[in-house]
Amino acid sequence: MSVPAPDPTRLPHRAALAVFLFLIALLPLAVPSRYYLNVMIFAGIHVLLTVGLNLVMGYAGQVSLGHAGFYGLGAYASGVLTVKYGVNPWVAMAAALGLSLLVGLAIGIPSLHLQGYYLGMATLGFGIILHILFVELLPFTGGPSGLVGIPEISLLGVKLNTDTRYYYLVWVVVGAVLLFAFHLVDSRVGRALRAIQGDETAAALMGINTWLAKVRIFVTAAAFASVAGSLYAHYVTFLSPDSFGFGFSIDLIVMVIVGGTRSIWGSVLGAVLLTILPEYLRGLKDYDILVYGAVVILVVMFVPSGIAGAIEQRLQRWRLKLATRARVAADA
Amino acid sequence: MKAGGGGALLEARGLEKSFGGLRAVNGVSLTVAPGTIKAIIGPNGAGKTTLLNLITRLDAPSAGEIWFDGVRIDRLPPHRIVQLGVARTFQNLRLFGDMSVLENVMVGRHVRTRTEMAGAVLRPAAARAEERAIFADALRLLHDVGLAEQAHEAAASLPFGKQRLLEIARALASEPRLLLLDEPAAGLNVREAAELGEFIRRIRLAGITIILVEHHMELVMEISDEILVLNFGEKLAEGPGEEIRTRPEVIQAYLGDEAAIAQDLRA
Repeated sequence: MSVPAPDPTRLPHRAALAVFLFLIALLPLAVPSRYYLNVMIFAGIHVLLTVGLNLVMGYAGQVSLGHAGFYGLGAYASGVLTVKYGVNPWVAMAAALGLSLLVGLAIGIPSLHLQGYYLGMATLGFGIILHILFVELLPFTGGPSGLVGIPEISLLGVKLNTDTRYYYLVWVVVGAVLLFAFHLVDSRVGRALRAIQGDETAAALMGINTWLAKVRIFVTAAAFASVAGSLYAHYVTFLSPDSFGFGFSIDLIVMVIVGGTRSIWGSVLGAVLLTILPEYLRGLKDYDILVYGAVVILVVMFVPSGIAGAIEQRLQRWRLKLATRARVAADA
Repeated sequence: MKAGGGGALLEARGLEKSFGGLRAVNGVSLTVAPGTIKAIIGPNGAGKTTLLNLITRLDAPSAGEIWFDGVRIDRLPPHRIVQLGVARTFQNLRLFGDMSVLENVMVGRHVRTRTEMAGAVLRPAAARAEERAIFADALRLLHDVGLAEQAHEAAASLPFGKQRLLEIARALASEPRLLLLDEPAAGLNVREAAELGEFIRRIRLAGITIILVEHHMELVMEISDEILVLNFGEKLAEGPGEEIRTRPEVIQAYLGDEAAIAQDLRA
């Protein structure tokens, strides 16, 4: 009898990640104009958001309708600290991260005792409250008219003031977060999250402290979102509350679902595709939202496990077939 | 007051549980000696599963105390009780259906392993070694229950009888000292039930104490050291199998349910 060696269905994610990041690194050499890099910078920032959200919603199965709140928190904390107090952008980014961790704990600790719709309502409320604060805290945030004059970031004396430079900064961070996520989901911690998603009661009876595991992953996602917000703030150099409302929380959920829940590649694909798509649809004027909606509905109807989810399942079935065939051949 | 007089592994005193007006468990006390198999029988609705839910703290007792190896457990959260060495299976299977057979058992190792987020992400040598050990231990358990060949299939795709075995393997992965089995023979055919009995005996030989909730009387009579009979949430009788079988009050309780006599006592 043959012993199943390490899972034959397990995809070599790290190798794929290396290839992917290599291609990403080459992209600036291949694009015809800086406009493409501009879009890919936003795509990278969105990947940071969707990967975290997928860990919470896809892997751990916890509804979060306020993810844009943490994104805004990171952006505004960075913006206010640098503009109003002249803090160094890197220090401001770290402070924003610390603040988001604290707020993540303050929200996560009570609300992750809740489940399903109730957790959805709690996170929805959190997102709305933050949005109101961005609008109303006029002396700090500039209110509805926005916060202007956020400085550019420098690294080792080099101003990251071109799209190419900022593109590399963003995608280095994305690469680190992806490596983090791939390692995490394929570990004792990741298995515990998937167990919680599958059956929270059974997970607790496997000795998993389900509440603590949920709080930890919620705070992790808040941290990723905060960094995404800081990167956004220093790239755009202008913040408006509308970028961080409930609508954007929903956009992020759509990206995660279209790409594929419980697939890290799905979050990459969903974020990149749905960041690029509206750019292509610009020519349609007011009809773009209709086409966008139709694309989303078609994906959800025909590939419910998401685009990457469907591809991964296909690949895994194929690999399993090859592994089984090899085993049969060896036994014969 | 310290429990465990006479060296009981599990001792429950005066357990009560009400759901609304219904007293599912009413003043039940029980002791389980280490290394024994205790069967809990009784008609449907007698409170057998509720009793297991109280021990594993899925339900909070309305009154009473539960002590496990000198530790009071009736106020601890479920995961702490598992840590102390109590594992269980479910009457209606609760596997992680999307995860592979192997991964289900790997989750069972959670409580005896320690890699946290930092270790999972940075993967120092210790974390990698632990992950390999989790993999190897889980695979060994699958060999023990004859599921190694299906290790990489989705748990939900296994036939029912094998899902039952997988649930037991997953519970054993947490290295319990006390294993609670909730109707493990339900839905098994005669041959599978006999194999299950053999397997439960092997688990006991490994030093694990067992509480068995079961309707399959042949299995109960064959492997249990003591039987506790519940009826309407109350203890009706307790003692060795042969003695229990002839007690008039036990027969009386089952008389209310013709089907139960036919199925259980005549088995």
